[in-house]
Amino acid sequence: MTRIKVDPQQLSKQSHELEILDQCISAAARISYTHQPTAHQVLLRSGSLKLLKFEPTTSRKLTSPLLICYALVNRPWILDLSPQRSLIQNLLNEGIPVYLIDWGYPSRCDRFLNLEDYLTDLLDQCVDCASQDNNGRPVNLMGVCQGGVLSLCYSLIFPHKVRNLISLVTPADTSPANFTLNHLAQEIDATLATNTYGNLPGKLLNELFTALQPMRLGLEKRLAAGRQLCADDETVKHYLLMEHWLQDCPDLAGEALKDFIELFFRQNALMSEQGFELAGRHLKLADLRQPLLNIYGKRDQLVPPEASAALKNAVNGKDYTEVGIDAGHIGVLNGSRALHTLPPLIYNWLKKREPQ
Amino acid sequence: MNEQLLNMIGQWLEQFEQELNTPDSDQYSAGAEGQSPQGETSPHADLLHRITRQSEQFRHFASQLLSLCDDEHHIETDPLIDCFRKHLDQLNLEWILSSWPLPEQLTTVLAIFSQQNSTLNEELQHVNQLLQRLLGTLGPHLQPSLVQQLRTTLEDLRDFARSRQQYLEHLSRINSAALDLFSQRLQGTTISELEQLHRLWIQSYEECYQQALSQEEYRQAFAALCNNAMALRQHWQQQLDHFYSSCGLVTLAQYDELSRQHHELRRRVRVLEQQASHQRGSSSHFKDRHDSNQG
Repeated sequence: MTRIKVDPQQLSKQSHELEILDQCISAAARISYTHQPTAHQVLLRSGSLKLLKFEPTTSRKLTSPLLICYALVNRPWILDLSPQRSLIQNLLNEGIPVYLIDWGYPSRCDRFLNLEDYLTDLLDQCVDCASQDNNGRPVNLMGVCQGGVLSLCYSLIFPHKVRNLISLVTPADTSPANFTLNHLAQEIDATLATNTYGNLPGKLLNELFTALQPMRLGLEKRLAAGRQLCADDETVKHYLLMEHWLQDCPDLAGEALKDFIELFFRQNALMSEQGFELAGRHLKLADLRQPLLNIYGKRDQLVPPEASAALKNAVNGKDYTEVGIDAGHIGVLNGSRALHTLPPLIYNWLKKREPQ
Repeated sequence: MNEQLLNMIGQWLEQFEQELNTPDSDQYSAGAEGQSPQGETSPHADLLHRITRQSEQFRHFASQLLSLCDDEHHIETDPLIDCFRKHLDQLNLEWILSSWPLPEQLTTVLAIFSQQNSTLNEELQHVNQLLQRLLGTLGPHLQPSLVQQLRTTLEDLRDFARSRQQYLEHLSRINSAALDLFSQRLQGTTISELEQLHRLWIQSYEECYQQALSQEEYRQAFAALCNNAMALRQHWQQQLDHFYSSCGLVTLAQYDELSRQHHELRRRVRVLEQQASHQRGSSSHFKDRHDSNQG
């Protein structure tokens, strides 16, 4: 029988530290960590949807506004987590006028909202509103994760309304072997899910995400929690805000989810050379007209780099720029490296494509 | 019973009132203020509760490790792995239970019949037997539709228990493979930190887990668990709907049907608006052409 050497002094010390952790947790419970969004105004309301407008902090340097289409999964405030960690604030500092779609929390009566409604009604209202607010200029559309897929589809349906397209951590190709989410969801009965729940509960979706790497996203993260919670107030606040965002997972409108799974997971529609039917149109990625800036995380486990980078071949030699950030899925949206790199990169890319 | 019902309605009204009083303008940031708009338990409190429970588990684990140490500060591998396996099984079980809960009413029934030290599987079996006895005794006196519903619930419960067991077996196999890998990697290392031990475990586990994820068998077991849990919940809801309907109350299915019709109307309005907008565009185009021809 083999024997493992143990350092009992260290273990005792750690056991003692765990006791201190309990006190830190009590202290953390008293820390106020209110989310302080960057100043904005609500330009449009439709059901639970809101369109938020953010003014640049310096002189405006782009004529077309940047409209951010966030995913239906999770909440968009990760892009504006705190004054110190805000992609939106940093874009404003570059002189870019920013509009953000907050899809809100679908309620039971929204279960029949389908993908077509999201694209040709809700997203279209936001695009029109942002455009009207800018003297009718077409928008620069930036889609985040699932919002990237929506933005690609929207740009194909209404090409005249979008000047440039930016996709962030977007699952364009769901076939790669390491796209675990798709493989895990393949056999789950989406119709049964919508018939059972109406809207898919956000909590269940979170569990599905955790099931992709149960130990890393569960145990490892909670192990690190102790150290984070015993740190200074700012670290504790940031940690609690992040954790809170992770759990702030809205339910997903049933029909839209069913459409999304069928089209983009089961059929891998965006990669289909023959194209696909959506919103009464025949769409094909090769028909995309807009210049495309495709940004992905090199260490993204949720949407593997291959799943995003596949856009390069699909858009067929158009004006295409690809940038891999050394970060994971969330790191691209909120990591310090990305917050430093992305805003000037986005600004320069858009500036080059401004109308003369 | 009446008092309990009144209390529940009172609480519900209170909660409803609080939600109404929440200013809408705060909704964008509401998620980060310790209260979700749906009025669910504060994630802040939930998170801290989970970390506290985890720290208790870890402290227990650390003290077990210390008790296994001999005078020369060594632990034999087998007891260490055994101790770790128990620690991990507990984490696994908690994860499964929290991920795929039974319908709330069934959970209440389980809670009533749960006996000390009985596992959830035993409790499920217990409820299954109870329903079977109920069916046997009351079956001849009940309406055929009610008997059928009870039978469906029984079948659903069996399917759910079976698929959960099969999925736990998959997890158990992954655990075993990961523990083998873990113990191989432990050789020649000195454990000075619990975190170091867990990091090694996480690395070993994720390797084995990712391998399992790529296998069809595992995915089917996972999907079977999800689908059976949903089927159970759906049939249960149908029974509730039947019950509400017989009491003259609005059912969820009726509410959904109204929502569907509402959406259909909304789509029709949208199409009509678009058509009207096109017609306005066309008529102003003709008017412009007419004016320029006359000019």
